[in-house]
Amino acid sequence: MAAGMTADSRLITRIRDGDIEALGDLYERYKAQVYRTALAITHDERMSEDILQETFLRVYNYADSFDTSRPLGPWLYRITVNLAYSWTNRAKRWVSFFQGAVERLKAPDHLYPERVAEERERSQALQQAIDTLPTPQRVVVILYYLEDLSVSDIAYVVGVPEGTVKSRLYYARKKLKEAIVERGQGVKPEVVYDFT
Amino acid sequence: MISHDRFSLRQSEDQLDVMVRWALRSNMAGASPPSHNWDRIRDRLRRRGKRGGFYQDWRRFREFLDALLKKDLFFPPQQNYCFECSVKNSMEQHWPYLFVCQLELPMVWAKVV
Repeated sequence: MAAGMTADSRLITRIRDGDIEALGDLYERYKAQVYRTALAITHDERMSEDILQETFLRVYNYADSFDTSRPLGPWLYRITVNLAYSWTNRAKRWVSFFQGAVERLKAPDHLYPERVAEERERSQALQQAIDTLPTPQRVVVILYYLEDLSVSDIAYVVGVPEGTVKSRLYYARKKLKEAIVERGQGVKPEVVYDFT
Repeated sequence: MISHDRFSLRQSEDQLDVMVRWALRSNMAGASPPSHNWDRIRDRLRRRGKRGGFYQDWRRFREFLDALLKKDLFFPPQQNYCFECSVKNSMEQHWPYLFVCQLELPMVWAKVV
């Protein structure tokens, strides 16, 4: 998301003047990342669509408050994550959040059913382990591994110090490793941590 | 103390990192919003009319409040000297001292007499 910052700044300037088409250009540029992040956190397609809409409506409303000298990506992720946090918390009051999450995320079938089945099983096992992480750890894992954000960007997005991000990643990895070893998914036991 | 610097340096990634990334990406492969999503955003914006929103409303409210305060509607300056007001103010400021004096005054008076 960091690339094309000047183009983003130009679009933001146009949005400030009320140009809806500029918002459309920005939407085309970032819709996949925003939607994917929302879906990874919420596991709900409808909710992710709503979050996507709300994110770009907020970009339109709050374009004045955005500092165009900074990259747009982390700001968008910040809005998305905040919305996903609040919306999933709201939804949790009514439905069991993790119920059937893996089934909704099933990948389409391919040509080699046995290999696909095996891969899917491993992927689903790990996805289940990720889903059982506490939400703050899960969000950090998604931003780090799925969206390839740097630790400093994640710190800005989530609104915590960099040390907290690293700590959350550390404990998330630890839990994931334990979950995988329990299931016999074949992670090497000598996963290296730096202790100083 | 645990050092987590490995997260800042992605080149030190291990098999677990690769697996987590692969699992997340394979589950999210092909995830894209429906095409009508942008139409809904555009419709909502057009229905609402010109750009507004909380931030702009808040800015307008602050400007309005600033203007009011500059006009001194809420806190008018005391341009004319008012003796009663100044006495009242000083009494309000020094009421504990006055209260003590008031209690002791009869005793002092009795001694004098």
